[in-house]
Amino acid sequence: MVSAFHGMNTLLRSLQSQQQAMDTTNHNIANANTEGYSRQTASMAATSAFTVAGSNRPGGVALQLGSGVTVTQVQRARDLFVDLELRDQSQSGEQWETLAAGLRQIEGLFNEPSDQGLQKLVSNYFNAWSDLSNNPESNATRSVVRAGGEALAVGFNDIGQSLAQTRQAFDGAVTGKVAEVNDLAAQVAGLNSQIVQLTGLGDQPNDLRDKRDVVLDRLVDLTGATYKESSTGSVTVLVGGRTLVNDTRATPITLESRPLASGTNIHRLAWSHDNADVTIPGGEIAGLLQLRDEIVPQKMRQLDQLASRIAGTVNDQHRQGNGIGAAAASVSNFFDPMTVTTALSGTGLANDLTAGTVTVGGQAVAVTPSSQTLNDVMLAITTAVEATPGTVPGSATWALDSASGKLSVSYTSTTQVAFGAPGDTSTLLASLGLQGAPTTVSAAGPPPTYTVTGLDALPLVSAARLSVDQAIKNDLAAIAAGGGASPTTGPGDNRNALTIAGLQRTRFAALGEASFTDFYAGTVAALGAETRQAEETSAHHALLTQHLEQRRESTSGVSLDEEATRIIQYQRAYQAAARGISALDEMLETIILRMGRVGN
Amino acid sequence: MRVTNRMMSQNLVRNLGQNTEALNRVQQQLSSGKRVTRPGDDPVAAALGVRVRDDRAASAQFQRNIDQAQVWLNATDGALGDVGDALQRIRELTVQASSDSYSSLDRAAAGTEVTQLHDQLLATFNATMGGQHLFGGTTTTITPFTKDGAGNAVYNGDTAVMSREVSPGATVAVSVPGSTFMTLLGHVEALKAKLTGPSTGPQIATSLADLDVDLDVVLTQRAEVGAKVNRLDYTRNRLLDTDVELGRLQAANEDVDYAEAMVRFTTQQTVYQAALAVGGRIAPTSLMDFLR
Repeated sequence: MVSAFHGMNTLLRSLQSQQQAMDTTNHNIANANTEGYSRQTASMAATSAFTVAGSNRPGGVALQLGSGVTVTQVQRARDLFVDLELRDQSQSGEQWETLAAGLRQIEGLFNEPSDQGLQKLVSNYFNAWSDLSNNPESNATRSVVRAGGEALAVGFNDIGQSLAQTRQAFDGAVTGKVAEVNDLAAQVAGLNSQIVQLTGLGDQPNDLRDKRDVVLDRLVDLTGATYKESSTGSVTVLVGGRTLVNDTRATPITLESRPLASGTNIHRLAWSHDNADVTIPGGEIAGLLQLRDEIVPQKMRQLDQLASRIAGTVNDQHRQGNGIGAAAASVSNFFDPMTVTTALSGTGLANDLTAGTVTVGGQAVAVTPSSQTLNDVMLAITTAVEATPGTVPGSATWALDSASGKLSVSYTSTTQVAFGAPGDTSTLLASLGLQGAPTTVSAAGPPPTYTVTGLDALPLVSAARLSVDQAIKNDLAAIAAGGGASPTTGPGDNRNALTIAGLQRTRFAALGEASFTDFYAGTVAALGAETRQAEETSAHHALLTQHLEQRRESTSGVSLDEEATRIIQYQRAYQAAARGISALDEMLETIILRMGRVGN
Repeated sequence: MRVTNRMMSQNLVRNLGQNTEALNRVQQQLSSGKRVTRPGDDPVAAALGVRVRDDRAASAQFQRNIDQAQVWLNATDGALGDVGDALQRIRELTVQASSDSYSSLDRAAAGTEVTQLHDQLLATFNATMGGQHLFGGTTTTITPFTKDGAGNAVYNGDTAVMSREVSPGATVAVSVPGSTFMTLLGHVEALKAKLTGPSTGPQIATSLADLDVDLDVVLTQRAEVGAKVNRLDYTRNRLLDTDVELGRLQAANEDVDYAEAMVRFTTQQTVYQAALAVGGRIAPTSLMDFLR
């Protein structure tokens, strides 16, 4: 027998359920524009049916009466697979976009093709020598040569210093973003703890999950991290194979300051608990690290090589000639020579050299770029080679080939001497190109002679510090326009000026069989090609990301039309239930007030 | 696919953004006239641009060198012309003085004129151009020819020849060192001595052969100078032609094709306006407008 008030409960449940569903819809509408919000749906299910007592019929089906509706859960619409794909594409896109933006900045520094770039200054300088060859006695043409040299030096200084500043700026950006990563990791850990608690209680913390997803989006964009959700609801975040967030614990990334010999302060990323290197697989930080550690240093080195070649060859030729008048007997350089006797911190090597120690043949060699010259450091290295057992005493020598610009170390020994070892704190061997460099072995009898040659020409002259030699600044007559093979003659002798002017068209082995302009044009083209590739790849990823974002929005986004329709739906159901209650009320009224009262 | 309001607005914003970016690009190209303003626009064109500029600057320098060389050569030619004229006069005087009808007084008079002509020759050989002496070799700042106590020429310069670079790797010698003319001056001085001292007609006549040799030397030098001037003219014309071609290459490489850019601009503008119009119509509409 069913109670008269049974219907009341059914309708009451309906009212409550429709109300809850309406609340959920209102929540959706309110958050229609919230970043990262996934729309929520109240799932309604019929409550357990009520078996009417005494209705069991033998051989038949017992009568079951429905008892109404209840909201079983509020689900959020989220496609986890789309999330995974989207984050993967997005971090790639961010990495390439960061690269493209950085490369565009570097392009701006070079300002080519134009009439105001370095090419013009190189052209003007050698043209000034050509003008000097027409009139070597004149102070006017001499001062044009000096001015051209100064303008060229200043041009190199500008680009070199700007590149160094840009590198420092990228490092600054990395520090800022690492701080953001640590902050986000802490947030994920906090949200993990809350979500696990609520999930444990059987609830569905939809909004907290949304929040955590937004943080994860940003974290992946920054670092290219991967993540995994466990059954308890907590998310583990991995960066480069190591754990960034594990349940409620976030491991911060620390920044260790490593100043370069040139003065730029680079930060190393390390895990706080074991100080191991952090590998950032993707995202904005990977892009910035690539710019800071590979792209900008490569451009700086190319610039330094160009400056080295120009200064080196002009100086070499200049010393073959002589000045006029009182300076006729003096021999000088045109550009301030930065050579094997300049402190390492003032040379082009300073851009990737750090102080510390290196290991040569098991011996530790101390490296202090601010006080040591190339001579000093090579002496220390050859001494270390000689101290290695098996090396013939006196056989360790080093040389710098002026044509190719490469450094080489030779020694006669029964065993090969190892250059570098794990745990070296200085980047000296890498800067010199001696680490892992090809070794040639001479055929001459035992013990054999090994020669380790650097891979690239050494950029001894620093573009950022290039300047005209003081002798030239002081006296125009010191400019060596005259001189050559046969004994020199009068002030009209222009042979040296002709040779120096002709250097502009010479091809150099150290520049890869290219002339100055060819080498520079190659640098510009390579930069342009890299920028183009970065822009195109970034655009490609952006397109894919867009598409995936649309899919995510399609699944999780709030459609106001839909919600408006649902409002009406729930509203009508609510009204109907209310009407039902009124009807039931009347029915009960009939029983309560009218039944049993006859004839009155 | 389920489309939400947010998707539509995001699409609208993104597409408008792309349109304005394209419009901006075309506008920049049109207003600057350049298609390539940074290496990333076209890396190969950028590298070519660097090389072409360098070549053009070098070409302009060579033209300047040629101009200076020609000025020098023309001055040398002029001087040699004067020298030739003076020698001709000396030869005339020699022919006259070698005749037996000349008395020693007449010969002395001829000798005075030859002395004057000798000094004139020295003055011509000491000519300058732009502060540099033409015939001093590389010693261009001191007077090449001076007279010693006996009135004979002394050469103070050197024997080196000055060159100018007129095209890549090609140099042209533009000066004649004064030492080339010491023999000539020696002959004139010998003649002067003969005319002022006692000498016979036949003795004076022997100078004629020397003077003929000297005239030849001067003519040969002038011919060489002339040939060089011609060669420099030819080189300059070649340089000018090459420069025109380089200029054309540079323009083709970097300049924007106005007609094509204008068409692109108009198209882009139309697309942008269409996007705005459509967006304006669709964006604000939703079911809310139609419910009571």
